[in-house]
Amino acid sequence: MLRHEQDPETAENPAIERVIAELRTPVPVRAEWRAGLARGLATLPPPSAAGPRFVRRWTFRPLTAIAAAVVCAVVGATIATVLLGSGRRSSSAEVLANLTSTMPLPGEHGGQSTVRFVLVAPYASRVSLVGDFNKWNPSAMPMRRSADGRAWLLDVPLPPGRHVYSFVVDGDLAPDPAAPRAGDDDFGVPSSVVLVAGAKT
Amino acid sequence: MTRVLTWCVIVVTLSSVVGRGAGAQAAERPMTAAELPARLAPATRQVIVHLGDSLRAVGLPDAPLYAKAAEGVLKGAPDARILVVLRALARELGDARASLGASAGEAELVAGASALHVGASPAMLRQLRETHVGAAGEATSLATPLVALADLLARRVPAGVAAAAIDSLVARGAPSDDFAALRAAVERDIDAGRAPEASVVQRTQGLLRNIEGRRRTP
Amino acid sequence: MSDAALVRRVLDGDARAFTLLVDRHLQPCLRFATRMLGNRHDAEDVTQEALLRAYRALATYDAAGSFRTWLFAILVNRCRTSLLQRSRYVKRVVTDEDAMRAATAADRAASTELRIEIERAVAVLDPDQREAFLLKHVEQLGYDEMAAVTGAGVSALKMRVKRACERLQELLGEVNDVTS
Repeated sequence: MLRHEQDPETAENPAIERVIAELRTPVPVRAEWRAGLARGLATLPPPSAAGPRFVRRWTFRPLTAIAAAVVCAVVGATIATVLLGSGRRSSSAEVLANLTSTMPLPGEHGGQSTVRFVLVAPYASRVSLVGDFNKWNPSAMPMRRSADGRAWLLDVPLPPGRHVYSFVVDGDLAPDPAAPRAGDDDFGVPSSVVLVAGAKT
Repeated sequence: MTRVLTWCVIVVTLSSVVGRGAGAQAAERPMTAAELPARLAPATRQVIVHLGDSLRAVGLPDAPLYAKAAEGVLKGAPDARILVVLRALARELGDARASLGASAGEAELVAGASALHVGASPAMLRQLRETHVGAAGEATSLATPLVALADLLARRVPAGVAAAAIDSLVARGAPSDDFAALRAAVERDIDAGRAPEASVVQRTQGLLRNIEGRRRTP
Repeated sequence: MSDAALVRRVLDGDARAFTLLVDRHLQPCLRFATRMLGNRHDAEDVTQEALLRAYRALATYDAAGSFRTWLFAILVNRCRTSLLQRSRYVKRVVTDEDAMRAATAADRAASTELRIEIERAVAVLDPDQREAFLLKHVEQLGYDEMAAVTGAGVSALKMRVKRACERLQELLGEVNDVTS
């Protein structure tokens, strides 16, 4: 394939030209942001020729970063979940940072597939489930707190197929930490996917 | 804007905590145009209804369109973006049927459209269907393999590798659980730092060996 | 005055000379980050972070190379990190009431549709391809500069740009109703 390689600059195409023209449109610089940047620079000590050489290379290893993030998250979430008491009031950030979940588990019940959604959110005061199966209505499917007060549960019978969903935790949309992400986050906010196997519909 | 990092943690099992009767709730019937969220501007609503009518007229499902619109509204998307997304979805549903055949069910069409949306080609869908019909006949659903394909592509597995893996499992008549297992295992591998391509190849080979093993010792 | 001369002045103690460098490069940086990340808020964060890092690390800049290339290497790296983190964002639910308050006339939908369609198509590209396409065609870097910025080889970059163009063409095909 490499022998066909050519500089696409020469492969003119009206559609691509239009894209390029659109993308080259300057992005306005907001004055407040520019001022914030100047303030940020002013707080830094002046660089000098003898300064620390900490930017050595700019290559990036995304997989290492993901692995590190996941390890930190597991350790952090476990500690937070174990140490903090469940009766405490928490900020939205704390609530969301302490979400865990089990992958939704489809099971056959009376010929229908019932999916159990579980979210561990001990500090949340209200959790509901939204998705293409309930018209994305945050009040349609409130989840129920488990007996120990730590998890939120809901069983939902779903027809076979692919279902996109998310949790609403105290008014914030939160994708399921344990389920695959829907690849089509067209609206800039990720959702999760549950797959219900079954006969042809 | 409130933006918080959500930690990605998989708890091994909560079945002991869960117990039975976790507020079972009936799934609602498919969404109709009449149930589109109130905040959509009348002009936008009109376009969506027209698009839904067009889909129904050619025998394609329109409910996914309205559900997508509701998702956009909940996520605060402007009407213009919602319309662009819906047009793309309508096109992808049509493309999915062109690839999967007139007998494709709604779940297959939705799954096929999602795979196309994240980078599968119509040729990949056609190939999967041919393999599926050859291995299992028309009666069983291809939705599960298609969803697995879409999920692999969403995790940046190269399209050719993902399609070949799913195709090889379909050809051996792999059960739904195998596709679910594949996507879950690949997800875990990627999160653990493995290259997506290598993970898919190795996990698929493992599943194929299991299938062979089950056949030899029924 | 050249970029290298301005860097020299900053390192010699004239911090204000960095403002001139920022003025020269701010717009392309912000544009690249906006196109790469698909939203303004993240782009501003990332650009600010890149410029602050550049300032702190200015002594490591080698005047034999282009300042733009050096700065873009930092920016590209920050964008990659941001893309990795973004899948973990959550967002406030928009209720019907909020939405009605914010809603504006839908009539402007048609005029912005092309731009949104282009944004969507660019967002769907594989991030490596999007990065290469933007650097080549929007920021108009040469392939050697791109190689220095991304750490990838020239052949690989050319292939990414080519694939990006092909994919964009596919994605921006007819946007008609399926029935038409």
